[in-house]
Amino acid sequence: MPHNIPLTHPILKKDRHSKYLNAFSVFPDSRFESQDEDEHIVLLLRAHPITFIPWITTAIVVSLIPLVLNFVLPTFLTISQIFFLNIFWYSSIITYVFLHIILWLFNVGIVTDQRIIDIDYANIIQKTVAATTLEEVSDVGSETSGFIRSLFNYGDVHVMTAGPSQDIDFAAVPQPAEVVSIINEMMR
Amino acid sequence: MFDLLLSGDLLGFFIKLFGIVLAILYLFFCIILIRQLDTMRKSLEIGDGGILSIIAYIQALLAAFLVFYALFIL
Repeated sequence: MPHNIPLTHPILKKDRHSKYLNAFSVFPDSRFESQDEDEHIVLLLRAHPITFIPWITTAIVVSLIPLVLNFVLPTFLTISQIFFLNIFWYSSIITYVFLHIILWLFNVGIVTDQRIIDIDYANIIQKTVAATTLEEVSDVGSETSGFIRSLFNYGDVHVMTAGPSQDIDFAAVPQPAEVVSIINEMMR
Repeated sequence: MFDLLLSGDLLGFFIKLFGIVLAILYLFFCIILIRQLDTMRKSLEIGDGGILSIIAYIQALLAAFLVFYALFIL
């Protein structure tokens, strides 16, 4: 059964909008696989873009390695072999970055006017979907711990269920307190 | 490839073998990535306008070039 969308909530007052590179989208123009005809997405959540820093740093550091090795390798290898290694190395880095972007884009938390859904990809071939209806939600909480998380206002949202559905966690999403507040208002 | 072995260039032989195996594995990975990306895009519409698929196909082309390079030029 559709629940009332709390349109008076400050975050939802504005029409369709998104923040943090689409990590926090309100009334997004998207659809998901099991969405019912009369079901509307209220929030589409992804990890905060600040979580990109570890893999971006790794990619930058790793891309600098051939610049050093290319001075040493000509002693042992031919130009053709060095060219191959360089192309392979950089294409692997591109794939690494692309993979992280894909996983970020498709690892989403969805709050609709009927359900809460968490789609998780641990890697590109391992998908986990957890969903619960708003009626089954017993408690919602958020956790923002640490300096960086407090500074950039992101954290985890925990949705606990009373029924047989498993609990749902949205990891490192922007504005966790507001997400909790919206879900609470929808549960009323 | 066996010319390298007959000429006694063992390092060259192993690099070529290593290159062929790596490039083929990379090509397989890119093909899997394309297929999985299609599945992911069906499970959630993100309105990317197909740019992700284009990048995935470019990667597969790059991997195919690496296989060709490893087989015939390396």
